[in-house]
Amino acid sequence: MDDIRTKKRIRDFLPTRRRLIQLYAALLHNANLKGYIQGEVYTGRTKTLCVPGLNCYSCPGAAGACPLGALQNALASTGNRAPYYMLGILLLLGLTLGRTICGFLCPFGLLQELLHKIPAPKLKKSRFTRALSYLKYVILAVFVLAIPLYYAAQHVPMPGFCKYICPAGTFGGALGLLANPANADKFSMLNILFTRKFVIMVLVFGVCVFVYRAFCRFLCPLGAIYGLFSRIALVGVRVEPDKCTGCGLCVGGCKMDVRRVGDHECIHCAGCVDLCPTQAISLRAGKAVLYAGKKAEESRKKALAARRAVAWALALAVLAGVLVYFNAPRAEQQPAPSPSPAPTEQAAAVLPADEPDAAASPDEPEAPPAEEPDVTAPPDIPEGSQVGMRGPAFTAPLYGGGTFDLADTRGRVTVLNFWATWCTPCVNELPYFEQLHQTYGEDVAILAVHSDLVTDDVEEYLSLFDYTIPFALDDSGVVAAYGGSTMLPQTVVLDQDGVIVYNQVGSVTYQSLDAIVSPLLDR
Amino acid sequence: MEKALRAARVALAILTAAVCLALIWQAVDIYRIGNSPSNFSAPGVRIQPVYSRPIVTERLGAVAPLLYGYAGAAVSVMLWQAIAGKKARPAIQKPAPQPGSAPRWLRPALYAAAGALILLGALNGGARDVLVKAINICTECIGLG
Repeated sequence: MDDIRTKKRIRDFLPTRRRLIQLYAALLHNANLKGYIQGEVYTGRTKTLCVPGLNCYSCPGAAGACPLGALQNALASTGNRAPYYMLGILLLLGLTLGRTICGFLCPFGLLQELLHKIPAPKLKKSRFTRALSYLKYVILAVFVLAIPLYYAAQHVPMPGFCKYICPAGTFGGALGLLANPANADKFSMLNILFTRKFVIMVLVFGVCVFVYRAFCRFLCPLGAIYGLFSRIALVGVRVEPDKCTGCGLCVGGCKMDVRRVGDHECIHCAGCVDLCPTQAISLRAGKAVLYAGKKAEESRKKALAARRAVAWALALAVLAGVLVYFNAPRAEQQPAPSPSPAPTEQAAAVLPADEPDAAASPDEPEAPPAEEPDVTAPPDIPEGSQVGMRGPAFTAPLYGGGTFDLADTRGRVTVLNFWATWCTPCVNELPYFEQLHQTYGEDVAILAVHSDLVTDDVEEYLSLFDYTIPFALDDSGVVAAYGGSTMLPQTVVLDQDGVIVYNQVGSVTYQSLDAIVSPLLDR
Repeated sequence: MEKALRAARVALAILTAAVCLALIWQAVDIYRIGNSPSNFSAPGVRIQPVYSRPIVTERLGAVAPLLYGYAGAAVSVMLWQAIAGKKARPAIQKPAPQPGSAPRWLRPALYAAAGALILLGALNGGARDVLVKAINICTECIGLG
């Protein structure tokens, strides 16, 4: 008797088949394990494809694009092109899997279920939670559709849900990056936006301990989208009306706010399959039965075991292949050497004043400082991207003709802004640089450098505004030379000697720019 | 044995509640104080935290308290239910609409539409847009600021 109890207890603690599939899917969604070690996002072409679940593409491990983030950005670009691609992807995912994605594949769903495992009093579903479940449709309409479309009309890309709510982005993207010591400098850019999103994330996680899949049920717009396909999705739980006695055990035992098995709130977890006394419920893919309950499986135990072993072997082989693909060291994955390699902060800090070129690359010993006669900065300042170093020289072709040469700005304060048309904070802060130009005129040289990743016609975009500051395209690695990587916006301020006094990723305002620039002009 | 397990479960529940409360308190505290470290410190220059507040933040500021209120209400109801021991009534079961209830041609037609949309999207640059957004980090979009 004790043995049976012990075995049952052990079985209770073993992960279910669904949990194993969830873990497998979470690992596939975040197959770029290398990213967690390096503190960088994956920049390969697989990110053209969307993963089915809610998984922030700014997470260091993310192997694909988040469908919700990509949809918002596609809607935000409707002024330039119709969002066919994302509509097609969502249609394909919804038609094939529907909310089965929520039950089996979504990493954030798994996280919520694990949080709900923490022993605590649990909130049972009721009319109150059922009414709340419609909140996600409001969020879908307002934050995912209305805000991006409204701002698209004003040429401002604005992913409303990502920016103001998404706890998956805060957890996977923001905290995922901040957790790596390589991104320690990013702490300085945190502001009220982060505080708000952090509070929302903590609240969501806290509520998930007490409420089963609180985010899925009440807030997730992706679940709301997939829920629209509940009647037509290929995979899902089905009820055979002939066998159903209407006892209500399935709906009563379900933790989601379903009114009927398989409706828009059902995540097709197949938990009700074993509850049905008449075996009227099964998980199907079209006509094929994927799971029909433990009783139904008893008779075909051996055949099913062999089939499952083959399926898991295949799945593990796929997983191994994917992990090798994303994490194997590759030559092209190495960061390209910048025109003037930046010495590390530590190296700069210990650099003695009488050793001017100690931090320079040993591969370039033949480049004497005397080759730059127009440099007025003291010769003992090394070139690099860190504050206190001399900014690397560059020239960049300007939109509208002409060339910007950094050497020409010596004797003036220089402000470099790295931006892109598809970056919300970048386009929002451009007016501040224009205002700075209007205020200080020729005393301050300003250049806005667009990222080399161009999605829109930049000249056409600029023609919509009356900016008088010069704009250039980063076709010669300017952003990389100033320590930029995959994060935008970035602002660099150089003093009259060409020495960097400010180099920060993150948004700025006119006040903050003025606070940096005006003391330099007073020198 | 059963008693010990029950006692351990209660202790764990209390601990969980305490941890959650502490986390929420910490979050509220951070929100109240704000992130005060300055973004920039050059000799003699100290500026206020850089706030990114486009007009939408101002307009949608009311939504955040609503969300917090909703979360608070959810927890309150949960506690009330736990104390009162009230169970939700199972809804009346109705057989779910079966796939056959939708026209048979609808699914293949929608698959064809999805394929066509993806192809059009790949041709009009939509796929490249997704790639560009996914490989670059928009700092505001993930809440970094």
